[in-house]
Amino acid sequence: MRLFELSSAARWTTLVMATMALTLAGACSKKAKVEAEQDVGADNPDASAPPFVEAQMELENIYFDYNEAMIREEAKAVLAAHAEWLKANENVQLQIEGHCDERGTEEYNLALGELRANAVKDYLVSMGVNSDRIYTISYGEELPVDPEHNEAAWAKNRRAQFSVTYQ
Amino acid sequence: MKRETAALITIIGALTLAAPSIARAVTVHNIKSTRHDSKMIEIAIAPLESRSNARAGIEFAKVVSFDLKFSGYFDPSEDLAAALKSAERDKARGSIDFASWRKLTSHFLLKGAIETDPGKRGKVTLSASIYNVGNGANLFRKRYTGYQEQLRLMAHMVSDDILDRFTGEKGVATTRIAYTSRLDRGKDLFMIDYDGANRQRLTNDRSLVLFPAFSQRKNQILFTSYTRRNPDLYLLDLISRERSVVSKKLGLNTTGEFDPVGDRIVFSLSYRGNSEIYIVNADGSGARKITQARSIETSPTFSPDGRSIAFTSDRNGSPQIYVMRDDGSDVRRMTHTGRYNESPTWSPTGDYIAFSSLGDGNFDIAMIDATDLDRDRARPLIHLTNQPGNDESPSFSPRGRHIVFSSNRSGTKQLYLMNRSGANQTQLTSSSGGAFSPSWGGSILDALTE
Repeated sequence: MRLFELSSAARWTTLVMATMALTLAGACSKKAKVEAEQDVGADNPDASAPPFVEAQMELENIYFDYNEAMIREEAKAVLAAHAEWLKANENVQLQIEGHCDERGTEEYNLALGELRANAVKDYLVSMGVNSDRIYTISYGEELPVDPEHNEAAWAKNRRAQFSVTYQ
Repeated sequence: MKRETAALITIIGALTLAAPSIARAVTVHNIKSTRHDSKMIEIAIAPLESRSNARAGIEFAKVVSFDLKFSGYFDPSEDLAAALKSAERDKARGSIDFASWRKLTSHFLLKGAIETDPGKRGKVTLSASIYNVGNGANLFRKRYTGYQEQLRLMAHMVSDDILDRFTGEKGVATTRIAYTSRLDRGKDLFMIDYDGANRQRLTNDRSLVLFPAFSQRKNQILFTSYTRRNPDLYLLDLISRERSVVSKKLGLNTTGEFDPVGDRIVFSLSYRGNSEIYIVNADGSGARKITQARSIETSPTFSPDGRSIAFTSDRNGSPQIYVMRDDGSDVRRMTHTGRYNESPTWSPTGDYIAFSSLGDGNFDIAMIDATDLDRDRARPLIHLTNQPGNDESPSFSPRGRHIVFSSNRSGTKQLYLMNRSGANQTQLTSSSGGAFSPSWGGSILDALTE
């Protein structure tokens, strides 16, 4: 959809600029500085999409251990299936949301959710999915699926959730 | 929004402090000794005399009573019925009957009156005086002018003047606190007076708004919002109500905080999934990365001299508090006990760092000594709270004597105030959407007289 087109365009522009910058940098040996600036990443493309995207196709969640962003063994099979489906449906863009349970501070959990979303992205990319099709976002502990305060609820809330849009 | 803002400035501009020299001319006796023995200063607060509005007079007494009690130095008489009766007697006599006030206080009496200004519509003049009930001496007298709707603010100004007069300390009565509260599925930004009054909603993002941080120098609040789907860092100017983008890189742009001068912003930015600490100029230019680790680095806070930064990192397995110089050098781990220590905030006096600490079971507010940073020495955790429920997100008052924090000890997350020692823990909000991530800001008067 529009958001992802913008997103891809922004990334592409950044990539082109970075490549040019690196080429120039090679000539005047300022590579390190250029890389440091590049490291900040691309701007949010400012799409005015609704903040909470509703899933149009249910891809099964995967779950994490407490305070961990490592992909569990049983989640790998789920992600392998997601990767196959994504490769078979080239017109689909994927959003991966990283979520946490309520334990820990809001600040830390937001960072942890980001690590989880990116761990999932890296795994899908390693299975052959093009990284330009994937957008990650962390919601930390802000959007629990189960509001209870017990281990069963926490286990459900420590998750990566997927939503897909069709181009 | 614009129109309200313009009105507010005019109102504050109209507030003038008159004749502090009157009070100075009076001999201030017995005050220092009252402070230095550990006994509280007793004070009776008479409802304001008002020809037209008795309720305003009582509201004034309640506001000042809360402020003075909160300061920790005063023990205001809570017997409002008796104060009303004594005030009536004074009015009938045409003079103060100190004998009747001595039943309510053995030290001081605050009396005042409010009069409408005949020349200017809506304007009022409030006069306040303090008497020693033992000998009837007038120790303090001051006049305040403003608009009728500003009565609470004028009462807070009286409180801070009394505190200053008796203890030499600057009070917090005109300060405000920013926080977030849930609405539907998201959260928005709110602001209240430090005593819980005047709740204002500052954003309407239909999204998630997180981690507000007041600038102590400027009338501005930093926060993160998902309004453009990505968690971007924004700056809200409280006078113009205009919002600008500080950082909007793909990924997290969170936990921003100003340096003490207001020139730089330190925040947490994730790129390829891993949060690092960055510093950016206040206008959003010149972002530079100052940590480089494979772990989570977040929640940075400047020391009051602006030369050091405390932050959370899990580089050694669990989240702990670290300190570094503002160029990223000389990183030191500050906490070694407690399973998790997160969300540090540096006291404005520089001597402590407070944070959320997970001991056995739940988070408490704790702090450590933050002096002599060059020396590696034991810095034992000083626990300030020890209640069931999680106490999180501490933020110091502008001069560091008090802390606001969030806690779910009552069931939902709400804001609480306490002294820096952990004493006098008081619930501040009872919001149906809860209250999260408080940030204690400066005085509304400082901000608007710039």
